[in-house]
Amino acid sequence: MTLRRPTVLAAAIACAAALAASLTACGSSELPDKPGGGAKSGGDLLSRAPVGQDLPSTPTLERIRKNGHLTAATSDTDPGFSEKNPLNGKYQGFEADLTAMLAKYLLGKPEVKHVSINADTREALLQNGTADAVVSTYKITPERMRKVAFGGPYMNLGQAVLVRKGMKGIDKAADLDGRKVITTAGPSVESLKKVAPHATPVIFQTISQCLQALRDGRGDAFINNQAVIVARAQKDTALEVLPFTFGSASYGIGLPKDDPKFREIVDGFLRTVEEQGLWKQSWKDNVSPLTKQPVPEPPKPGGAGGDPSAATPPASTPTASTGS
Amino acid sequence: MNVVADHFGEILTGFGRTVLLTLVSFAAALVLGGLLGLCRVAPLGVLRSLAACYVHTVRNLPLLLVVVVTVFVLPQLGLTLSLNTSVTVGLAAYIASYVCEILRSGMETVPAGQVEAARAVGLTTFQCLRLVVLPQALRSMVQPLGNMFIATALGTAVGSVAGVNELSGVIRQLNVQYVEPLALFASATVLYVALTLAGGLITGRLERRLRIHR
Repeated sequence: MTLRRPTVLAAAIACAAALAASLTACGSSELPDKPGGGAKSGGDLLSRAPVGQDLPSTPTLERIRKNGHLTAATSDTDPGFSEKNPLNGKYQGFEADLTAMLAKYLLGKPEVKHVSINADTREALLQNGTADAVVSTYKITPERMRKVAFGGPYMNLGQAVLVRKGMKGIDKAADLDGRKVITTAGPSVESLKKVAPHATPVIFQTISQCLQALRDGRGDAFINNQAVIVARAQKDTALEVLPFTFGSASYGIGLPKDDPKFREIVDGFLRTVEEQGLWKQSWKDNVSPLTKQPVPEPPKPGGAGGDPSAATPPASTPTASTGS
Repeated sequence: MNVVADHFGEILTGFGRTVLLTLVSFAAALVLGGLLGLCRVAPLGVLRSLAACYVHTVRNLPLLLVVVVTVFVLPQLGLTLSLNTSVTVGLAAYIASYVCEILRSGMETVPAGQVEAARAVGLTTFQCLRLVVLPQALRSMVQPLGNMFIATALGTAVGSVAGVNELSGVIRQLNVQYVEPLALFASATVLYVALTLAGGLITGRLERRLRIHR
């Protein structure tokens, strides 16, 4: 019963190595091969970004100044919005630009410390002061407004649907009802439940996993915000985007609830970058190449933070809507 | 607090799925782990090394990785199981490596002299296992196996990252939507503890019943 240890160990290591190889092989196909669009916009945009003048003193702002950086909870896997470049470790995308500009507006220099995020912990990060702001496709809802405040909205986005080529029978959002729908935890599930209450959400952690699951036939469709969907569909000819969107909603910057003055500062920041055309510039650099749609008019910030009744987005907000 | 009451049905459905995942995975792990354990002490060298290789590989991987392999890598090799089955297979494969080691260490508690004596009176390997080693080994395995039952029950939570709407998945989705972490995760805690306590009670009973009074 004695083990000849070295042999066993070597065999175990060989098994592990083979496993690792197969895993990397599957992962590498998903690596973002984004052209330098986001990286390019970063420097140019930041040098033009404003620095806030005569900002009132608020607890959050004082904390940010004391730390010397803005601690922002962001995603690192959202192409076009906030994606960590694996080569240089920099964050790029529309939301990454906004975060850096916000840091410059508050501090005079674009120092951002990124805290990784998942949908479960966003409120807790703000409540316990781990993060000063959440900039991560954070949908403004009345439920969340009981726990956190929102600066903005800074964008309106709809949900788009990706299916395997040749999939029939889904012509509108309601056709998703009763089907298995792959998605990530977050705004997509909420939008799905509204239009198709009997759909079964099949939730995965990352967009890459969702795509793999869709290819493997683990669901009939994959829904996510339209920029993600369009970007991924271009890379995979076996999948196609359906020509409709649904569940357009307003997204805001999550902020601590107990600091209303700080929320006003952030709204002021958003107004400034929108007036100066930086919002449109960043959208043009990061999101338009994915959606192939013209840059929309930015939403009007303010009013999202305090009053829950203002949370519901206006019926016809300008969105980067694809198709009907 | 209303969230839990309003969505009690959903939470219970998720809990039901957790219980089912636990029972099926644990049963499968017992069978697979039992076979592996027997291979570990088999007279055939090839079987021994194969089983040892399996245990040393799988036991040293994070459970999450094993489940990701069954969910995402197997389809690439042409084997697409349903998500529930994939998670069950991954969990069973993982727990089996521990069950195997529990069985082996259980058998090693039986003094070598007894095995030699059994051989001396002419019992075959199989008879020796069935009549002498296993009846004694199984008694010492009850408590460790009870621990593995608990590990299986808690391990089912990885299903929530692989598209299975078990208890953790349901709770997370509700929390993303309603932002009531305290109430929601407290209810999940109660249900998980109920499941693992039930497992603990059963193993306690079993152990008392099987105890040999010397």
